[in-house]
Amino acid sequence: MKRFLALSVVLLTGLASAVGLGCDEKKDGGTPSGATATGAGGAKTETLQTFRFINRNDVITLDLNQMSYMQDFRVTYALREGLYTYDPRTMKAVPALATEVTTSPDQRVWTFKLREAKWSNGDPVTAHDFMFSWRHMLQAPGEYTSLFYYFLNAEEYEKAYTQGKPTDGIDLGFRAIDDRTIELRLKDPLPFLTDLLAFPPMYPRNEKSMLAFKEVSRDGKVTYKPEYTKPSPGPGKPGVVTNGPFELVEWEFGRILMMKRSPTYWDVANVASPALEMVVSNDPQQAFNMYEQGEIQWITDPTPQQSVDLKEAGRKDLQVGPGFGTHFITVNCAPEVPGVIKGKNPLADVRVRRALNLAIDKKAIVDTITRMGEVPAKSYMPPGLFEGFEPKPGADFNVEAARKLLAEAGYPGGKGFPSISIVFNTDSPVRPSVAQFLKNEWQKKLGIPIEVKGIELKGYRAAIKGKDYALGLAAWFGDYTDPSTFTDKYRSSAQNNDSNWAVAAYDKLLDDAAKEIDPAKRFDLLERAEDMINDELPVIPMWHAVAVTLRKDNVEGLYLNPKQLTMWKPVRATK
Amino acid sequence: MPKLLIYRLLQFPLILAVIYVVTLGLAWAAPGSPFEGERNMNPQALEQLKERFNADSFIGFLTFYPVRIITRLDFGPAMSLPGQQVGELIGTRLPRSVALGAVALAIATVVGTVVGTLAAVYRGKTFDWASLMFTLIGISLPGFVVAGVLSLIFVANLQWFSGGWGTAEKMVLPAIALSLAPMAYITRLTRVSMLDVLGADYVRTARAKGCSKPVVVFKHCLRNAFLPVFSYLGPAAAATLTGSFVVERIFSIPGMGELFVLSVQNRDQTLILGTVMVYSVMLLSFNLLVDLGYSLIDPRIDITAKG
Amino acid sequence: MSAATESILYKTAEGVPDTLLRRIWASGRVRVGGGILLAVFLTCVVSLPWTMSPTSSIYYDGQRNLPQLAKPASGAPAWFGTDLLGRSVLARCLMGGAISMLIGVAAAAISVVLGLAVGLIAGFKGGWIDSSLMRFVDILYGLPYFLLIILLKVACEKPLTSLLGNPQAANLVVLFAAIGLVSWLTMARVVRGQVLSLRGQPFIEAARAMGLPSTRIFLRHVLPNLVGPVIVYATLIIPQAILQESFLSFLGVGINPPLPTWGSLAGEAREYALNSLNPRWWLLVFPCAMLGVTLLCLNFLGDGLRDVFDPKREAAKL
Repeated sequence: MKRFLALSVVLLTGLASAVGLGCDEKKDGGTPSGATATGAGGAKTETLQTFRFINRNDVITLDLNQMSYMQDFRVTYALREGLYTYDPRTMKAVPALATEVTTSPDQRVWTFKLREAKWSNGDPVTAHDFMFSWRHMLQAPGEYTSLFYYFLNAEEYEKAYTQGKPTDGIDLGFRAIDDRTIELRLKDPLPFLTDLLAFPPMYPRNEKSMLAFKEVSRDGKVTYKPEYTKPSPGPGKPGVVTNGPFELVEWEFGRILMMKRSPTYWDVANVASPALEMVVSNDPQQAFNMYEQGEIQWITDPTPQQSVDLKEAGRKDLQVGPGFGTHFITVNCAPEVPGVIKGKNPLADVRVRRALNLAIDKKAIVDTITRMGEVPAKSYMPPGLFEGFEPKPGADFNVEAARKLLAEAGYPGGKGFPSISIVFNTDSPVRPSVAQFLKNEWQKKLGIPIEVKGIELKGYRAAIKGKDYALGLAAWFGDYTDPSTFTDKYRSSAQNNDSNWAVAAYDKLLDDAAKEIDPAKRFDLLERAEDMINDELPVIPMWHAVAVTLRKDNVEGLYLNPKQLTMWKPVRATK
Repeated sequence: MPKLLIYRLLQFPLILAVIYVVTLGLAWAAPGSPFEGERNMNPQALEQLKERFNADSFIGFLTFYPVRIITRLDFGPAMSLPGQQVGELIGTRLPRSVALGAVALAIATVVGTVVGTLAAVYRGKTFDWASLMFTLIGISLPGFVVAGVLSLIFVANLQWFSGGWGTAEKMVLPAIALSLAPMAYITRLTRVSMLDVLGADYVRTARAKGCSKPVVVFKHCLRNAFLPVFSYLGPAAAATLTGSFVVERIFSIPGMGELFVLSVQNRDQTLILGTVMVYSVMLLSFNLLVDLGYSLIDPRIDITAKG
Repeated sequence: MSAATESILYKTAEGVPDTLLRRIWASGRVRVGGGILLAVFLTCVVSLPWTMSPTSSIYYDGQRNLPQLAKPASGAPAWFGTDLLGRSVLARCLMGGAISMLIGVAAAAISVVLGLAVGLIAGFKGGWIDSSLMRFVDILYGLPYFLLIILLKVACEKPLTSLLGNPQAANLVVLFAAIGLVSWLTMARVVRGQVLSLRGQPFIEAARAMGLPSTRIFLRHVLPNLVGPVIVYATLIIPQAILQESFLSFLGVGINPPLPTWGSLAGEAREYALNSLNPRWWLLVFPCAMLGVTLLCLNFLGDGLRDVFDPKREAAKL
């Protein structure tokens, strides 16, 4: 009996301590207390102390070199600032750290004067911070380093540095004339430069604060441990230094990210919320529970099914608008795809691609699967995105024409067509259904044998990148406000050209457009490039994306925009 | 016994080494890069990143990490999550999974043993059937369905509990969800071995002596019947304490199970290695504890005897 | 024990020999569990000609034949409602049942073969072979299963597709392998344990003393005694395998659509059914009901068979 009691006591204490260890005390920032602010019209409304939101799954990294996900950029817009920023309502680039801007007559040389601004550790923001950050983007390239290629000799510098060759002889196109002046030389005139400069890869960084994280590899290459992006673990210890409206207070991956208004920010008077808290939730129903119970004020991306249900319930807090991208079927145009397609690749024939495109009832997809009022896509780029850019519209749904084309290509009624698969990533809520829909459509209407293949995300990306597929469900979203963010993807040498589609005439159009100074002529050339894509169909467009977001009625300052950019200064929730 | 202990402990490093090499090989062979996000990177950039992790050659990577782990007890940074350290991620998440798992196992063991015992005692009667059907639900439906339904009823609709993690209150529902599968096995195991034990001579003697039923059952029989449950608890504890991905995903708990699945989904070799090593150590330790505990529970057993 | 020995020891009151088959039939669990199981199995299998035929009204992939996401209604295809693509949930449940049970049985078969082989070798040879085999099993327990599955798929799906000519078949075979490769571990342990305990029994020693050759001992004395535990565990592996497939589907590495399994149907249904806005309960309830009933029956059947195969159970009465 005694042994039993002793054993139970030991087990119970063990259990209790395990439970205690597991509990996390909530750090500061839980109880909302008001801070009065003057709302529109002079009426005083209290601002919620902490603005809480759910930002997709979680932030992957805050290192500017390696950043590529939308949610990472969203947090970076709160923490950091560059020469330009985006206006919260119009999303046009407006000056932030840049005050006076002058350009040379040929528009290739830009000079920026910096305003007086401070880093979160008190250091002044200087031109050197930009030089350091930009140079480092070339030294440790990431997914957006190619944006720097517009700068004179940047690509050469990157190649030389990464290959270990000397870089002293290279006349790099950006330099600091003095502490507060930057001179930037471009390869060719760039109409969307200010837009580009508002994008996080172009932001400055404080070199001094990163020295503690510097590492030099055996062959002399400099890198900075990405831990430089985390808040200081304790007083006196090195941590992240930022220059934006908010400072990073705490970041636990997979749980929470907390920011507070930065007292050193030059425009702190116009930062509406005292604190921001990004909560991580991997379960959409949990996220929705928290939203309904008022624990969070904003869900940046409700799931497609949630969006449909909310829309059908007539919920006013759901905001839907056009998006900045298109969902399409990426096609492998190589003459042969060994291991994937038996024999020659039917998709190499443009008539087959056109037939596939003409045979899809895209309206049915939008009406029955996605159901958020998307526009069925006839073209690769969403229409009406850029003023003055008017390519020809693409082809309409036409099953008869599709059948004729297929017969012309040598597969009448689908006879002789080898079995091909549509590949998609299994974690997508919508793509499995779309793939099955397409299989059904093409089998019924064209008689061709199609299979459906779901692969988990990284395997899927490896298959697409390695061009180890026949057809794949994919999407592309633009990064900056210019048609080239879409057209550049299908250059024959482009990193993101997954279609094995290499047409010299297309490349020439893009090259000419890059050198063209007259904006109307430039758009003309790019329109012809877009027309070529819609005609030759290295991608078969399906529907144009929508931007959907869910926010409480008491939230001000959040404006839905196609790129889903979040400019944090005016954002606040009222009580 | 000490000889056995030393013998088994010596086997640890060997087994761990094999698991390490095989896991590394698997992670290496899997297609997909931990470094690429939504867009493709140019090959030189990828090479450079790999170099930073000594992952540009298999042999290099194979040998680099054990040295680092042994000398600095540090698994290094996570490849796919720039800025996060593997050790830190495991260090914050493991206590949560252990806490949740411990509570779940406690619930499963207590409820399971009691129900199983009673089912054996009242064999054939309604209680036997009903209780077994009830506990078998835990292994007759997918975990994500049971957890999802519990979450929907108690969190979304009734709002008795809130989701997420942090306080002891939030642990209740996920612990219950997590306990259902082990509970089913424990109930069954207890019932079966109880039936065995209840037929033994000494039980009849005790009853003849006049001992009451509960005393006989719980004081004498349970200890002997508990052995199979105990041997089940070994691997079950290791599995439960290292986190269940399904429960963690549905109740939004940042734990080990989720970390492991994330590491594989991201092809994050350093993170995979870290989580697999931790899991293996726990599994081996628990198996050893169970084997050692055998002799404590039943002195007749001698596991050193060769077959 | 052999049937002959048993019939000597267990004569019922009426003098009718109490053979194994009779005991199986007498067990309530086996009757109920096995009966319901058989009913479900037959329904799913017998309906296959209809669920697999594109022209039938209960075609498993009959997209847009019926209104989408419709509640259960009258008219056979609509009894269980419809899914997002307008397909009959009834059809998909029936087809899904056939495939789930196929996966379960295939995985059990693989486990039995592998588990018997390894367990027998380990049990009979003993010594270092036994130790190393058991350590090998330990190592396999420690390896990351999810990663193994991904690699298995990558390595095998392409060659299998060329071999079998059909990517769906290749996907199924990979799944059989993936699930079977995990379940055999327990089977091996069970078989090894049984062989070890049998080896120590007097009747084996007696047979050896009599000079019977090893193969004869093995085939006539050891193997029949293994049949019991192997059948019991095989029956219990089937539900585990079916659940394992549902977990794999949840992770995104399960069966390829449009082929359904109960587990993948439940997984797909999750976000449509388990939400507070507009729960489409029929998408989850019907597959889970069929899954739950079948698995409960399998577990019951396994329990019942276990009771039957071990006579000691019957003696337990307080």
